[in-house]
Amino acid sequence: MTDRMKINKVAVLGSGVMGAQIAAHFANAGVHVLVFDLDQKIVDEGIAKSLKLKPDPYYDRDVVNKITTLNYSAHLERLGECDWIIEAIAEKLELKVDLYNRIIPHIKKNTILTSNTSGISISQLIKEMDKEISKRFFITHFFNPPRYMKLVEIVSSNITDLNHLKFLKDFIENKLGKGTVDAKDTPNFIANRIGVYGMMLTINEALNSNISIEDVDAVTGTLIGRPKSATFRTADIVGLDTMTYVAKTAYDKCVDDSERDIFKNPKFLDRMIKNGWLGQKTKQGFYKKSDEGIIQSIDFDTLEYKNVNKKRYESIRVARENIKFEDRIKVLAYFDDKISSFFWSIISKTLLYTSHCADSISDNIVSIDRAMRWGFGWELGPFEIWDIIGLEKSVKKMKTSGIKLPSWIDKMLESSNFSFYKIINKNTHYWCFKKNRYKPILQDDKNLTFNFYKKQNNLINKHWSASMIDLDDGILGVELHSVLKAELNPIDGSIIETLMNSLNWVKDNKYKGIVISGDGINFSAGANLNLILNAICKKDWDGIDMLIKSMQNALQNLRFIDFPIVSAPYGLVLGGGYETIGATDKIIAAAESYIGLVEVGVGLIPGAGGNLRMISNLTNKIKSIVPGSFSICQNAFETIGFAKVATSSNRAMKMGYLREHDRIVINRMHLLSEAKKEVISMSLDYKPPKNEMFKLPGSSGRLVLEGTLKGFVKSGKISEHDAKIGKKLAYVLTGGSKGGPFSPVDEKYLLDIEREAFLSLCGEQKTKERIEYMLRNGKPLRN
Amino acid sequence: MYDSFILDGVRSPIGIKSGQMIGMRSDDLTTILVKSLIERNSKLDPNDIQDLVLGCAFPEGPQGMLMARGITVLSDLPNIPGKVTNRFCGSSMDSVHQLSQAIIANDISCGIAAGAEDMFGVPMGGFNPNFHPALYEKEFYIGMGETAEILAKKLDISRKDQEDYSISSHQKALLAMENGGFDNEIVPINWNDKIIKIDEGPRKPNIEKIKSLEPAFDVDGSVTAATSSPISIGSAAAIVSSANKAKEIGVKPEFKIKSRSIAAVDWKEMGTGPIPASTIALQKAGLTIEDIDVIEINEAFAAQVLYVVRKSGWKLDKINLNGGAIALGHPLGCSGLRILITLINVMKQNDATLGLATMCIGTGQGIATIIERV
Repeated sequence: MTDRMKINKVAVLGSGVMGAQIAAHFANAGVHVLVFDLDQKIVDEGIAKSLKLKPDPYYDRDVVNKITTLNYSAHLERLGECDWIIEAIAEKLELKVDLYNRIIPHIKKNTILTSNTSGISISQLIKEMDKEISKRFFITHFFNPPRYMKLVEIVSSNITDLNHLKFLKDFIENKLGKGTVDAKDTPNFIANRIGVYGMMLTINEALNSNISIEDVDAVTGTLIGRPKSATFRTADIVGLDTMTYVAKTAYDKCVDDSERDIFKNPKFLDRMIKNGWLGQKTKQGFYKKSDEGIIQSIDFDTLEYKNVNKKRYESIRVARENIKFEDRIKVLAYFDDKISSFFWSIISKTLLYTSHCADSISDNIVSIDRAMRWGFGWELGPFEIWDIIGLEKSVKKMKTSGIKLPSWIDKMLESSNFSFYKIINKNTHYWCFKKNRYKPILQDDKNLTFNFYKKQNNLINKHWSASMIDLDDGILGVELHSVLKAELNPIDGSIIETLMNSLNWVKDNKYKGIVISGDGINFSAGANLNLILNAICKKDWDGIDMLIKSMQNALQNLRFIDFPIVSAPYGLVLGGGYETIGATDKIIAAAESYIGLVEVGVGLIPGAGGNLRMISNLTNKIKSIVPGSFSICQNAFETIGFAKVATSSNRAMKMGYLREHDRIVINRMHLLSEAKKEVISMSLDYKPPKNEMFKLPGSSGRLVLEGTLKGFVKSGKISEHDAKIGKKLAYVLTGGSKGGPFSPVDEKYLLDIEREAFLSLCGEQKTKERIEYMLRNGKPLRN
Repeated sequence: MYDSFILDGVRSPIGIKSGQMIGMRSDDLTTILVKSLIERNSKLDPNDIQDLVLGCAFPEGPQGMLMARGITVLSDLPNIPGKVTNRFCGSSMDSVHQLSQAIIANDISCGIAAGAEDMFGVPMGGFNPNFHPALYEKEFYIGMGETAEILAKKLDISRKDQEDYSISSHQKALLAMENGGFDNEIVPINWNDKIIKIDEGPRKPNIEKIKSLEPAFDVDGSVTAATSSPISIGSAAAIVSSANKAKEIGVKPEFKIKSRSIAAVDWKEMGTGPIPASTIALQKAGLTIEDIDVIEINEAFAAQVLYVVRKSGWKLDKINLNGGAIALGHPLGCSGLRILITLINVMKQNDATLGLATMCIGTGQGIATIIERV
């Protein structure tokens, strides 16, 4: 059965915000998609609007050519071309059922039909549907924005054909790069049920304990491993009307829910909605930007906006001393001040609520945790958080306020089991609330992580910021995990040393090759600026020279060694992060990689091969027959000179950060296994690359760039210091004093002049100011 | 002496950024004009055309490979030779000069002058710009906008004066369009299933927007996008013939090329080029500026035109009666012939006897032609 199924073409019914964005993501995945709406104007406008959405639903503008816009009146017969039809129209049962009746005569045998509903029950949707069709009907609930949110909730019925279900789940994971979670047919399914409960609870509690909007967001955002937009900012983005609509669904339909009243809007919220203060889309919600551009937040009582004014709380200060958010959660949960009591209240109630409804919304806690991580952007799901704060300890504290645990947790505690997750025989197990015992989480061979291998005792060597891990099958893994900033992985001495050691280790142990990657959110946001700033302050130029030289040498060694090295970047891949992957034989990049050489922002130019890599990549990409082709330099100059970051791996490929032989993997979780496979296949007949020679434009091309810079300064487009950096960059990219159309230069020469230029910029006062500003404010200074 | 005449001239509409002409090749564009020229001058036997001289400022890429000869082949005139001439913005006025000179020397009796530039297809500076260090030191490669700023500062030409001048250029062009002032010179172009028959540049000036623009070349300067000629695509072609040849085929020659001139100026003040070039052309023709009825001066920048006009004491009401390059566009290699063609039409429309066409040239030159209607 399954092997005959295929999805070549997809239809999306409805071109609203969700429909258009789902279509956009199919286009990202390279799937041809037909989008339908009531008439041609509506559907064309829907797609046109999606092109302007922020964040961008498209990997690259080019993918739009995968979308065909159609309408129900003229083109229904074209549904016969589609293997999967996904309905994403208004949340009204009658409208949906009408539409199904209208399209069903046109769909072919075996076509899968799904709804993107977030609240309507599948049993109602298929009630009057033909049996044959309803076997192939289920709910695929994408989260907004679908390009960025990993979660797709799957709700099936008792007549769903399991082959089709399995096939579609595989497609969603492998081709769309999403994560599926099975949800039961209950109101709001899993993520919205828990997530919106959490939001409404937070609003209620904030109101009761009189804590300001900004203070709530300070304690419910990145501090505890949740999105930066925390609670109220998220609500503004989602839209207050949408959020309360979901809440109302829960209120109306979960009549037996003991916490039902939480889903009711507090009065002030009703008044806000009545005023049309719905958040971002109406330019004001919980937050508003004043005419002077100052961020203001609303007062619950007066409904007046006041300038944001964050209070200082001891618990937050102490929590911030911890690098890991898990440790910060622990501090906040057991501290004793106003904000931590508030935090305790929302966290404990959310955990309790989740545990009480767990078995009605899901088959296991793993799905619930995944749903919250993938659908709401939490770093950890509720049961994972519960393990962090300690089940036994937290229950003790909860009981002081007289709460009642669900019986399955009582049973857990009675049998002296105090964690929801546990490693047994090297495998992670979860507590099954049905069987009241631990069950293993099945390891999918595609979803490999360094963490998994570490649990298998495969750790070879742990350094401060990187580790060597045996990935089996003769492959060595180098995991980046900065000791100081795990979420940004700045390249430091420890990483360089580990890379060097890994080369020797592979040789000594006759391994096949190396994969460089990590388990976190970002591969690496660049070099360790603190280190460079310290050296600048001490005027330790030799030290900086040594540092850059050692990185250059390490990366060139990586490049020329006689076994394959594959890097697998994801998230931010900036500056030194890019220079690291640029030196590897092959890059297997997550589709959501944001690659850029951004050194100019801190008054520098790439120093560890970034310029060399761009010249090399563009030379091979443009393949100009003109000796010293200016366009190669010009391209590199514009990309590096304006610190352009690629907003997806597709874009990175276009800009020349990635090379033709590199590969993009749409599912972040498949990255490590794909990279490992690549090393194995490359090792069969591996030949290291040759030292490249480049014919560059030389000084006459450099002068063209200098002339442009002069014009930019004059017209006020860039500052004098920008021009100074630009001149250095132009010097390097055009081949310095030795390069020219008829005097090729080699990699070493380019690295030498790049390092010299880097060093000389380090000595500039304005560069120092830029670095200091970046470290303090996290954004570039224009000086 | 063999006098030389412009028998007839046509041009394409001029396209600008995001316009409908983007993507059209300049050789195709010119071929349409050459064919149309031959068609509407049916008395002339195409075999009597002895050369095609095409002006182009960046003859490379799609404009390379000796485009002039390519155009004669595309125009089904395989027996006519062709050459490309480059004097940047003065290129196609120079092609008229070269044909005029060849006729006077009795080398030929009739030829086609042409000019073409697609500034979108071939960027200013070309595909592989490459500067000579010594020339770079001398600021030989100075940006054109900067040269306009230098002139504006030198004569204290205010931003408002530049804007007023540019606004009037648009208004004159719009009025001419309305009155059919370009009907005789523009050949409609069929491209991408659309008929393009008017210039894309001229528009009703949005005063508020013009006032709000940031200076384009110098933060402290006065020249803006509104007071500069836009990047353009366009092409022009004309028949240049001896009086004898005209008589032979039974055409009354009307526009005599009375004098030609070129001059060099400081490249940092390239916009002053028309001053010496016009002076020389007038001298050679034995005329003074008072004798001239109408003037076509290429509007590279409003500041540049105002500089020339003020320094030379020209009367504004004689200048660019149908608007100029700020409104119409400035496809570099096409512009010299374009203003000559506009000049002869303006002379007809205003019953003028003597006309002057002149322009400045990047790298510091000027070029001028005096036309007498006989």
